Amino acid sequence: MEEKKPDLIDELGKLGGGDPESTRLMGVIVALAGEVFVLKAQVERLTRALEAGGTVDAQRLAAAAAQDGMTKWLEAEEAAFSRSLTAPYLDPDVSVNATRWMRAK
Amino acid sequence: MPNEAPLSFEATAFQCFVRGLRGVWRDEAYRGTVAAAESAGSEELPEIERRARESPAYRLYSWLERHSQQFKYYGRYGVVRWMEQRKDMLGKVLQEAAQRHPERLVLDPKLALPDYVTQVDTHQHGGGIWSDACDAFAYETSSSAYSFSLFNPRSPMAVYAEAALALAPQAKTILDLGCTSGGSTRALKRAFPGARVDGIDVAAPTLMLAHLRSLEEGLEIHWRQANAEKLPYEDGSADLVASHWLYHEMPPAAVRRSLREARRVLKKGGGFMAYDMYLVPGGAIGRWLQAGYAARNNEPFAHTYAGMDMQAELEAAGFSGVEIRVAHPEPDAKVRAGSLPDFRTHFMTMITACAA
Repeated sequence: MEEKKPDLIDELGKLGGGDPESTRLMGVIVALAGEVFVLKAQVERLTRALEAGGTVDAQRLAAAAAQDGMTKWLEAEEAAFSRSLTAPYLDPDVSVNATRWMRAK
Repeated sequence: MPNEAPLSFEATAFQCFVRGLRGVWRDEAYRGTVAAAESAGSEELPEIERRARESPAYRLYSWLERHSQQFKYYGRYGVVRWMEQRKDMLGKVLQEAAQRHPERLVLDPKLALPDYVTQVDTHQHGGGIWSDACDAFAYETSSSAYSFSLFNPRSPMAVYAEAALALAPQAKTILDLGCTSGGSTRALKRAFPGARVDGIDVAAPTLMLAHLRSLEEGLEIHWRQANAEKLPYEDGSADLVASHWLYHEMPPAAVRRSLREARRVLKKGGGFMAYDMYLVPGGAIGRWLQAGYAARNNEPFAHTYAGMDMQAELEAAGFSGVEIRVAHPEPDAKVRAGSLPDFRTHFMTMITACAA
C-alpha cells in the first residue's frame, strides 16, 4: 500500500513544532525568565533612584519588612508567582487551534 | 495619542522581554530555520516542514512564533491581563466618547458577526477585537508596539495614504473597510481632508475606540459597524474603497463577496485598493514560512488569501486595470532576485484596480 503523503496543514496543526513535554517546559522557563527580566528592571530602577540621592540602611530595610503592606505583598506574590510559572505547564497553549480554517474555500 | 491605561513599570518591562524574544524569532531563529529549510533541497512544503523539524532553530522559531504572542497577551504582565483589570474604566471611556458627535458613530447591535471572526481568535487574542473595550485597547496597544512596521522607517499608514492619493486624487467619498481602531482611516482623512471618509468594521469596541481617537485628533470621520460582505451603502456612491490588512482575515468566499460589494458601491471609474499580505517572496521556503505563520499566529486566511488569484477575482467582480505589487518594505536586490530577506518580515502587497 502506498504511504499517504504528509499534509502541510496537518503538520502545521501540531502547533509549536516540538514535543508536548518540551513545549510545557519551555513555557515554564520563559515564564521564569520573564519574572527575572522584570526583577532586573526593578533593581535597575531602584539602583538609579538610590544613586540619585537616596540611601538605604539596615534599619530602614527592617522597618520596610515589618510593614503590613510588605506582608500583604508577600501573600499575594507567593500565589501569583507560583501560578504564573506553572500555568504554561498545565495549560501550554491557551489559544484555539485555528488551522482547520486554512482549508477554507 | 492619550493612553487611558498606561502599562505599569513592570508590565512595560515584561513587554520589553517579549519583544526581545520576538527579536530572536525574527533574526537568529529565523536564519537557522531558513538554513534548515534550504538543506531539505525540496520544493514540496510538507517535506520542507518535515526536514526543518529536525533543526533546533526551527523548533525554537515555531515555539516563539506561537507562544511569545501568548506571553504578550496572557503572560503574568501581559497586555490583556493589564486591560482586564481596568475593563470597567475602559468601557466607560468608550461610552463617554460615543456621546460626543454620536452622528459619526453608527453601531448595529443586531449585526451577526461572521464565524470566521468569532471562532479564530485572530492573533491568538481570545475574543479578538470584537468582544469588549478591554480587547479593543489591548489590540491598539499591542498592534502599535509590535507591528513589523516598527522595523521600517516609513510608516505603512503613510504608504497607504500615498497610494490612495495616487489612485484617486479627487476622491470625495471614501470607504475604509475593516478599519479596526482606525489608524488607516485617520491616515486617509489626513490625506483627503475635504472628503467624506467612513471607517467600517464588524467590531463595535474597536469602532468606538476609533471614534474616540478621531475626536482627539479633531478629524471628522464617520464610523459604521457593518460587514464588508454586505455594505450599507448605495450603488455607485463611493469614489474609493480601500482596505488595510483586511483580506488576510477573511476566507476566500467572503473575500469574493466583499469584492463584489466594493464594486457595487463604487462609481464607475472609482478606485479599489487593498493593502495586505498577499505576494510572498522567497519561493517555496517563503510560502512555507507564511503558512507556518498563518497556522501558529491564528491567521489562517493569510494562507488562503495568498493562494487566491486576485487578478482574476477582481476582474470577475467587475474591475479592470488590476495592478499587484509588493509595496512595503521595498524589496532589496536580493529579495527581487528571489531570495529571502535576512530577517523575518511580512511584505505588504498593494493591489489597485478600477471599477469597470
